[in-house]
Amino acid sequence: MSIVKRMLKNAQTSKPVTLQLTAMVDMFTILVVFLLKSMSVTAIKAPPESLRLPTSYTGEEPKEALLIQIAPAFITVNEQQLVSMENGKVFAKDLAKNDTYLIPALEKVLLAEAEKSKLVEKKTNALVKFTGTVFIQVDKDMDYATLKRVLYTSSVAGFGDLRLATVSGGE
Amino acid sequence: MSLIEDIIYKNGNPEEDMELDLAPLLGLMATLIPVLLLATAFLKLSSLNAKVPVIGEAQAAIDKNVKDNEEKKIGLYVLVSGENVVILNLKEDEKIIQSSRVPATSDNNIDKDMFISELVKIKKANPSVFRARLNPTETVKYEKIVGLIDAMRVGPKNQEFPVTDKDTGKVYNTPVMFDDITFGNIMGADE
Repeated sequence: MSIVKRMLKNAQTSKPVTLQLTAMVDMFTILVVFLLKSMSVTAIKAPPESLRLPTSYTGEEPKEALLIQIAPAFITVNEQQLVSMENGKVFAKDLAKNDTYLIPALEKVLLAEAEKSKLVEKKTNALVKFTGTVFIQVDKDMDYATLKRVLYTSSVAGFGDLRLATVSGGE
Repeated sequence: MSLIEDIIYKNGNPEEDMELDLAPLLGLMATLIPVLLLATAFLKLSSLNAKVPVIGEAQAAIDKNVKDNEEKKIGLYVLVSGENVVILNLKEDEKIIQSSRVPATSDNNIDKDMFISELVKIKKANPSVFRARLNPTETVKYEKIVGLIDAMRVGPKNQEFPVTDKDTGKVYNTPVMFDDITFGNIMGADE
């Protein structure tokens, strides 16, 4: 009997093939459980790809606060780009003329945010207090010079309680 | 023939295994997995500069000591130069009480081991000091600053330091070294 004939005969006599899905469902269940476990419920946004955070071993769970991101090419507040930079250096035109540590564009936005928070504090009868907390995400290769200018501008605008974002190194 | 026999013999063999239709479940999983993959943050962020959580009453004792440090104007001043040399000055009312210098390693890096051992020495001699001021020069990389903060906040593994509650006189052991860290030179001049 030729192979073709044998195959035809087999096809006529054999039962319809059913796909075994049990193993696949098991695998998917494990995957879903793993993903649910590693899902983060924090409102803190992850930094963009261009911003690599340093690792720390003593950090604690971050709390939601005004977010400042300092990457080699930009400074943002709540993901709104305010200042462009080159290799992590603020251009001289973006610094105040009478105070080379102050970044006016950043100060303006921070003052507005402080004003907004103080208004919320007033309207909620101090239920939501203005604490002057900023959560700063800084690229690990940045020089302290830029961070220093951002810290100075923040403190001028009333944000003195700073939290530095890091990647948790365990332990 | 009874109705039951009719159902059994006409509608199927009672000995044949019933198969569960897993296709809808698979469809649900295939939808859930991409949604979860998008919503999952694999990077675990943490926040530095907040106080290290300490179990029980030791934190209250630390807080009281920090307040006392502020009143006495006592604190550890850490100066980090661009050449990776670290100078540690323990000051009380602007006067240097204890000082040490950590030279850079041969491959021009901060000598972290020596830095930690100097910190431990200062902490052991002054267990009530928790306040520290970090003064890096402008060329120091942020990653190095975070490394120094890490080393300053908590001591080496299995090492604990006594902290006395100023009110009760009770002594607690804590791994916390210099928990109250601030950047001291943001106004320009190095301290």
